Parts: sequence; C-alpha cells; structure tokens
Amino acid sequence: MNLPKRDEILHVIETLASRYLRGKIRAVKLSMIALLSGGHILLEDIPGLGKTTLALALSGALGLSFGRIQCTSDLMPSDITGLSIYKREEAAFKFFKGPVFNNIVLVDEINRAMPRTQSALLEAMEERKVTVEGITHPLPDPFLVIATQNPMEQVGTYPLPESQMDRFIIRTGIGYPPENIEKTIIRGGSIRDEIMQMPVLLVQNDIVVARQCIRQDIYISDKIVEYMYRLIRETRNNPLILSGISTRGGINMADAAKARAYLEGRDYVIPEDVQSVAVAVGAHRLVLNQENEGLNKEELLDSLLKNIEVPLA
Amino acid sequence: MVKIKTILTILIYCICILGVAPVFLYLDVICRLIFVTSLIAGIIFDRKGRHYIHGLALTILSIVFFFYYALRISSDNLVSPAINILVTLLSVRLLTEKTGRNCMQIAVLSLFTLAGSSLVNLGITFLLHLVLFLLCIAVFLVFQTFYATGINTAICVPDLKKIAATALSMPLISLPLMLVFFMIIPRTEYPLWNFLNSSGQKVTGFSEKVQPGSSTGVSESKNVVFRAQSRRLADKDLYWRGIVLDTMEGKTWVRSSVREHENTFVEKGSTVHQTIFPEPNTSPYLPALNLPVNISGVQAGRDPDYTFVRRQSRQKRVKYDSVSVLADFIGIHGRINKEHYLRTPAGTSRRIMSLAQKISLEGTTDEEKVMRLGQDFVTRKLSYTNNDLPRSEDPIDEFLFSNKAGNCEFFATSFAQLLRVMGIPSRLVGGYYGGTYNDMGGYYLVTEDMAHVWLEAYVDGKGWLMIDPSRFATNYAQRENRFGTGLFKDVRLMMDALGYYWNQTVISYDLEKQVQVLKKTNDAVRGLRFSFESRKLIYFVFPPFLCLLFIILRKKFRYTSLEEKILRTFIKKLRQKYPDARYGPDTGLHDMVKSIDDPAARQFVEYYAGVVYRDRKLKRNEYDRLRELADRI
Repeated sequence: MNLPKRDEILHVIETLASRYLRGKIRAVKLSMIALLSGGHILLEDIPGLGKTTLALALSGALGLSFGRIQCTSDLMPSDITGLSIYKREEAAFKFFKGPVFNNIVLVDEINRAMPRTQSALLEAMEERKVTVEGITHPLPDPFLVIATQNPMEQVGTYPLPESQMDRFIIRTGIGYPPENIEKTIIRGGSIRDEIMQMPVLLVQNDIVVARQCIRQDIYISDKIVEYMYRLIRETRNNPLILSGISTRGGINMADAAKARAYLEGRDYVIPEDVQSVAVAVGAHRLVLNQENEGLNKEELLDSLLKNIEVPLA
Repeated sequence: MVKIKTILTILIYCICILGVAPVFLYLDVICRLIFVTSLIAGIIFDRKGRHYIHGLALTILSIVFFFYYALRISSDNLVSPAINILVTLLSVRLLTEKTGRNCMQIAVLSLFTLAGSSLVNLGITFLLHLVLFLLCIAVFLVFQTFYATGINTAICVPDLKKIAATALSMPLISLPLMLVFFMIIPRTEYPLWNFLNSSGQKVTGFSEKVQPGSSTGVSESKNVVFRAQSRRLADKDLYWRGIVLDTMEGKTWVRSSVREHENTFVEKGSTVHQTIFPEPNTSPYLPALNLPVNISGVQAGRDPDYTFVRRQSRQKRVKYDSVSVLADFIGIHGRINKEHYLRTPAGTSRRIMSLAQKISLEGTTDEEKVMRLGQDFVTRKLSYTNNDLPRSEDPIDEFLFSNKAGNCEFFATSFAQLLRVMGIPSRLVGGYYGGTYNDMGGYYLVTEDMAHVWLEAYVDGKGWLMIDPSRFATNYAQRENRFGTGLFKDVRLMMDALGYYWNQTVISYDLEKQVQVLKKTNDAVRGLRFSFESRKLIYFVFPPFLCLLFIILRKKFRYTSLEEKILRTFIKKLRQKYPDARYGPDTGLHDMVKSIDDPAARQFVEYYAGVVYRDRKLKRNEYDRLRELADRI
C-alpha cells in the first residue's frame, strides 16, 4: 500500500502533539483532516485554550504562510480581502492583498464580525478566490481557514447563520488538557516564541500530493456510503431536529473519512473512520427545533450514530 | 392509568369462571354453593383488601373437602368426584389473597377443571370456553411477568392495549397448530362421562313398553333424540316409526320375543330419503320416517313389522340413511297369525266389552268397524292432555267413560284394546310424531317430548292399516308447535344447528368425510360461473401467490454469503475468548479488536476489512485464510 507523504504528515502530527500542542492531539488531527480534505475548520471554545497557538503551530510546521484576522464589529470586508491604493509614483492604483491571501488564515472570534464581513470571508472560503474591483485574485493553495468563536459570549456578536456554518467541514472544541499535561504547560509558560522558531517539517507541495492521493486513491465502499446515508437520513427524520445534515455535509463527511483513513494508513474507508469524524463534521450543521435548542448537538448526533448498525459484511 | 393488580385480579376471576362454567351443572349442589359463595367472598375480600380467613384454616378446609370427595371415588364413579375436588380446591384458593403464586394455582386448577369438563360434555360450548380461556390465560401470563417490577405498577391505557394485543396474538398464532392437531389426534365420539357412567344413564326417547296409568304426568323434556336430514314434509306425514308392540301383558303392552312371519309389501308411493343422526343412547331400535323400507349405514336387521333393530348395541354417535315410503298401510300377502294379535288380558271391564259389542254390530266389514270406532271416539269428546292422567285400577275404562282425558298412550291402547275385543287384530307402534324443521341445517329436530304412540289394525284383504287415535281428540290441533315461538324459537333453532354442525364436523370427524366435503366444495366451485374462464383465474391467482411464497422463503432462508459466514464464525470465537471486549451493533470490527491484544484477530480484521470495504467478494482461498486466522484466536 503506497500512501505518499503519509509518514511525513504523521511526523508533523506527532511532533506538534508531543512538543508544541500537548494534550490537543484530537484537535491537531482534525485540523489536519480538514486541511487534507480541503475544507476549513471552526474551533469553538472559550478563550485561552490554545486556539491561536494551534493555528500558529500548524502553519509553522507546514511551512505555510500565515495570516490573522481579529474580528470586530467594525471590521470591513476590505480589511480581509485587501484594497487598492493610489500610488503617486506609478500614477495608478495598486492592489494590496489582505490577510486572506495566506495559506493558513486564522479568523479569531468570527462571530464578532458583522454579517457583511462574514459573508465576504465565507465567500472567499468557498470560491478560493477574491474579486476586488473587477479583478479576480486566486487564493493560494492549500488554503485553510481556522475560524474561532467563543460560545459563551453572546453580547455584541453576530452568530453565524446555519447556511454559513455549513461551509466549515469540521467544528470542534479543544477542551482543557489533561491534568498533568496542563501542570507542565503552566510550569513551562507560553511557547509562542518557540513556535515562531520551530522548524519547517513539510513543504507546500507535500500537502498537494497528499490531497491528490486522498481524492483519487482512497476507496469508499457502497456499504460505507450507505452507512453515512443512514445517519444523514436519521438526522433528517428525527423529531428533535428541524433540519438535518445537508448533501454538502454528506460530501464533507466522506472527504473527512477518507482523510482519516489516509492518516490511519489505509486506502479504503472503514466504519470507524466515519464514526470518528461524524460528530465533528455533522453536529454544527444540525438545526434543532426551537424548544430543543438547549440540547447538545454533539451528544445528539452521537446518540443517533450509536443507533445505526455498523455494516460488517 | 390502570393498576396491573386490578387487571390480574379481573383476569383471574374470568379464568376461574370460564374453567368452572362448563361443569357447573354437573357439580354437586354443595360444591356449586361453595364455588359461588367463595367467588363472591373472594371478590369482596379483594375489594376490601383484607382476607379474613387465614392460610391454615383454608388448608384444613381443602384437606377435608379432598377426603370427602376422594372417599367417593370408585371404579364406576370416577369423574364426578374428581371434578368436585378440583372445584372445591379452586373455591378455597379464591378466598386467599391474589398473590402471584395463588393466581397461578387458580389458573392451573381452572385449566384442569376445564379439561375435566371435556369428560362430561363435548358440545360446542366447550370450544367456546376453551378459546376464551386460552385468550384470557395468554393475557394473564403476560401481565403476570410484571410481578418483577412490582404489582402496584400502573400503566396507561394505550400501553395496556399494546400489551394485550401482543398477548392475544400468541393464541392466534397457535391456531394453525391447533388445526393440525385436530387432524391427527384421535378423539372419542361421545363424552367419556357417558362411557364411564353408562350404567347410571337412562335410555332416552320412547320406552319399550307402554303402560297407561303408571304415572300421572309425562315429562316435557326437550332433550334431542335425533336429527333427520330430509326434505321438508307435510306435518301429517311426520310419524317416526320406532318399535312395534304386539303383546298385552296385563295392562302393559310389550314387544313379544317371537316374530310372526308375515309376507309384507309396501305399495309404491312418495319416497323420502333421510339421514338420521341420533343422539347417543342405548336403545337398539332405529327410528325412521314411517314407513321405513331400508336402513343403511349401521348394521341393522329389519323385522317383518318394519322395526329396525341395531345389531351392535354400542352407545356411540352414529348416523344412518333411511329410505321411507309415505304409505298408510303395510300390505300383506297371504295370512297372518290373527290369534297372536287378538289376545287380550282377562278382566276387561264390562263397559268396554259392551262398547265393543255395540260397534261390532254397527259395521259389517273390518274396515267399516274401524271407522265406526273412530267415529265413536270423536263423539265421546275425548281430550288430549299430558297432566292429570287416569291412575285407577282400570285406567282405560276410566279414560273412556269418566275422565275422558289422556295422552297418546291412552288413546292408542284403548283403541287397540277395543279393536282386539271386536276381533280385529291390532298392535301399537311407538315412535315420535312431529319435528321442528331447521331451515339452516335442512333437518328435522325431534325431541323427547315428541314421543308418540299410535296403532295399526289388520284389515282383511288390505293389510296393516295405520291409525292414530290421538287425532280423534277434541283439542288435537293444540299439540302442534311445541318448540316455542318467534325469536326464541329462531335462536333455539340456530343454536341447535350450530351444535349439529359441531357434532357433524368435529365430534364425529373422520378424514374420509372431510375429503368428501372438500370434494363437494371443489365441485361447487367448479359449478360457479365467472365472467371469464376459471382456468384463467389460475393464471391470475397463482403467480402472485408464488411470488409471495418466494419472498417469504427468501426472507427465511436468505442466501448467506461467504463474508457473513466467516464474520459470524469470527465474532463467535471472539466473544468466547474475550467476553469483555466491546461488541454491539454500533461497534465496527477495528473497534472490537482495538482493546484486544491478539495478533490473529487484528490480522483477521485487517484482511477482512480490506476485502469487504473495497466492495470485493471473498474468494475461496481468502476465505480459507480468514478461517485459519479465526481458528488461531
């Protein structure tokens, strides 16, 4: 079985999780899955758990360019995409690229930006190009947006509408690290400087090759498709849920499962791949009924998943 | 919301009533009283929630009853005490608190009682009770399982309905099985009670001797004597000939043991075919419509006086076919032994003698004399009654000259005796007169109260002339229609028809007959006319039927692929070896072996998943390899 660049990618995950992002192995893996399947990731957690660190470390290790947007309610779309400035020496407008023209873009507290700015960003995420003043500028490849949002703070925010949540392949939290690891982290202090100086472990092309391999060589069986479909159908038929997982959600789930299979060293998808990505891929796409809004979407989807029989033969 | 305890209590009362009801009439009076009182007391106790009589007292009571009835068991009285014991034990149990154990005991005792009732009576009511009993007991047993969760649990009505429906489906599913057993299990053709207690039972129907004046009344028993399937006949033809009594012994008419040889013939007339289903009885005489010419279906011999005697006198449910001719006399070639039919006992009263003499003088021929005597009966204004019958020393004399009221026995015997005194040979014919026609079943129902006696007088040159002197009674017309009227009659007739079919198809079931019925149905179906040919119907009916069959069979014996087969083996092995690992429908194979340190199992999973999740089919050699890996676990 030949899975190109898998060893290198595993090495990156290993290094990140053991040295720089201790206790965040799941988040690192999911981010890598998002990157490999060409999607974007939404980190939803309270501040101070290392969301930014994660984004920085990932970009540093992969040798990719990094841009950061700190969202506020007066952030304008042009603050993201860039804008044209008149240059007197040349007597012409020159386009200055905004922070979105990077391989990895960290959009911090995306729900603080006003809807207009949000939609400009989300459009860029989907189209992978930015049109400013009639000229279309392609975004670099690979392109990964890591957006964060704080679920606790609701005042002065513009929650992302469901349709835009759908654009993120994965939503996950980070969670507190295990006790002993957290103690070490506290003792060691911030590792931002260390991250800034971390060695590049992968070149840009490696990611492109790996992505191609995942797209073309990982086989997804009819049984797995059926399995996923049954989960999706369950979310659509469940009385607690107003609208279930969309077709795009299904495509994303299959992509994520393939990426996971790649990381596990298989060229075919098994039900466990689906199980390990389903909640991260599917939960944020569910729209619950008004009276059930308090329910935890992750737990709900997990319970649905547990009720579906795994195809074994 | 309904409490489980309430449901169980109601069901247990239903069960015990259903169990005891079929035998209730056969119980001792004491036993009946005990059952009814303890049923009522039990219900009161349950409602109050206190049981005033305690365990020890009840146990002693049960033992007393047990011995009382056990001592009465003998070889010829077996069933009755046994059933009484069962019912008294059941009654005692009813007084106790309805705990799970006691309820089960009540259910079992009721079941035994119901089973015991089949020894007494195998009517269609038994089937009804049995079916209801089974339904109740199925629901009861299902609810009984709630004991584990607490008897005072309350459940809401929809849930209750769901549980009851599930429980009821169980006996329904067993119905096909019941039909199969019905086909193969041997059965008796009459209640065992009759067999076991045969000595104690009376002969039903007419008696074999006629003795007017022996009792003041005649019972109006509605017990069925026989049913005769035949076409509808005029009321005046409904004489069912049973026995001929030709000898007078004192005042009693009996059948002499010597048969006079007579060369008889029957004139051609309207022929009636009947199939007769007598209720089981010990009488050897086979009743059939007057005049029966031939009886087939049972071994029977025909006497010269057209009495048919069964050779094997077994008390068994039989049927026989009879061919009768509607004739009012039996022709005689040659002569008969007139002496035999003219014997009268000594001590015939003076008044009778003079009356006979007077009428003899009025007529010249025998036929005319008979007619004159009939006219005399009419002018005498004799009335027909079943009550206050003459009971003096000479009841005939009293009937003719002072009381002037009597039943058919008095009419027939007095007429016959007068004929004999006048020198005309005569004999009595015993049988039944009448019958209620059941349109539903197409048969005549003849009950015991239709027993009748008429006579035959020998007229020279003609033969034995049939005469029914009861017709000369002033109120003879009122004898008709004794089966009730209106709705009551309809219901009774319907119930009787149901019982008739039950006896026909279930009790005296035999395979040959069923095949015949099937053939008949087949013929009937063939006779039906459809708008298109019935052959075409086959093409419409069979393919869907076959499809359905195919689908059912396919579901049942679905083709198991190699993958399923090896997977089953693997999981079985794994479960045996590592019972604590994660299994379950939501667990994939990799998760199963993740926590297990078994290289063979892991190898198996890798290999197997590589085939199955690539949508490939297992090849034989791959299967063998997987098999080997599975064996190494």
